[in-house]
Amino acid sequence: MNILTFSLYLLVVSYGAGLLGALTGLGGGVVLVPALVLLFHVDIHYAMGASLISVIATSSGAAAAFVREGYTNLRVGMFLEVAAVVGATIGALVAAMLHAAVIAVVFGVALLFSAYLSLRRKHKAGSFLASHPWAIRLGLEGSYPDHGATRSYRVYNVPAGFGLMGLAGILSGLLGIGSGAVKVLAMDQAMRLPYKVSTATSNFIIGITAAASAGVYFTKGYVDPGLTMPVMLGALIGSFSGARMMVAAKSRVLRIMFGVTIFGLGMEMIYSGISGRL
Amino acid sequence: MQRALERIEGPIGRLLIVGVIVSSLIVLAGGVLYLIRHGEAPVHYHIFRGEPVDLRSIGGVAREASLLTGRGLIQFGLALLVAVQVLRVLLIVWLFYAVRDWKFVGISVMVFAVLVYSLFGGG
Repeated sequence: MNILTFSLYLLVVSYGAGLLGALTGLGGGVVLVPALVLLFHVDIHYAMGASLISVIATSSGAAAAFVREGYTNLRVGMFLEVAAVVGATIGALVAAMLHAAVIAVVFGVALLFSAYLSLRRKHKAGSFLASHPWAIRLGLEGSYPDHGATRSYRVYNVPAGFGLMGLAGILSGLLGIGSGAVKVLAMDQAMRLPYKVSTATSNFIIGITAAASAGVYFTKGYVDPGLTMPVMLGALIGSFSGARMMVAAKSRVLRIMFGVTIFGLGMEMIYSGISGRL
Repeated sequence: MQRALERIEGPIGRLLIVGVIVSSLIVLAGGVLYLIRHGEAPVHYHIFRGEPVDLRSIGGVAREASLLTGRGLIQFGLALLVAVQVLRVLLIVWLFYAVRDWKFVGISVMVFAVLVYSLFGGG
């Protein structure tokens, strides 16, 4: 296959990944890396580089829209980002030391975990208890627009959220993904922020977390321009069209489809890693 | 204070949109050049060799881009996208400073410091 044909295929598949990532709110990175590795037989390090850059592009686009609509909690985002950038730096440095097969197995496990999360999402209802003391001291509580009214919310279990965010950062740097699923988990399940606020704030900080790993990825030579170009452009266009369709799509059905897909990809990644095909 | 912050969040959204559009246009231009010149060449991504030194450092990428090589231009666009994220954090530092929220000026400066460390000193 020559580069032109290869780039066109990549553009189409990345468009699909970006579309699916935007529709489910889980980002495209978790689908992009396995697609590049399993379908296109790209070395996993190059795949991670292309995915990480695409994640920065798509989350920046989404973040711009959410900030305008007033869902993003800037304080929660920046506070948690302290843990995420440190994690991402560590993750990227560790990735540089690991063999491709090991990364593939870790990636597979992360996929299975994401599949589990997306299939069993239960939102914990808001509570009348007072916010966590750290949340009060830092002024993390906020409000968001809901059908014309402004709803305020409290913020719980800040330490758990902070810890999970560090883990999200490590995974992001280690695997070249945005870790949107773990970030949303930290905010929506641990800190019990409203789901829309969680996804908006997650999208807002994903680009910053990924930028922390990008420095290492660039200097280690993971970012190949020829490969990243179609992947980034495809994912970006896909995520923009996904954001437009958002209203019409049934998110539950999508979530189940997405969960089943990444479960399959996870098994395949683990198998490839263990069988030494990488 | 919350409302004062919301009112000045606009610049972050604009920086992001403009940053994404400008960098992807540069990537697209570089991509067109690259495909015109090398589109017929075979694909070799199954073996990891790492990028040439010139495409790994800021100075090298700037030099390649100024020579208008396809790969250099793409890499420049990608690096710009990363730079926008750093700028965004600086803008947030300024936003918190504007509402005199010193705790969050400190927190954002911390994020900025780790980011700069990982971009320039971590590799």
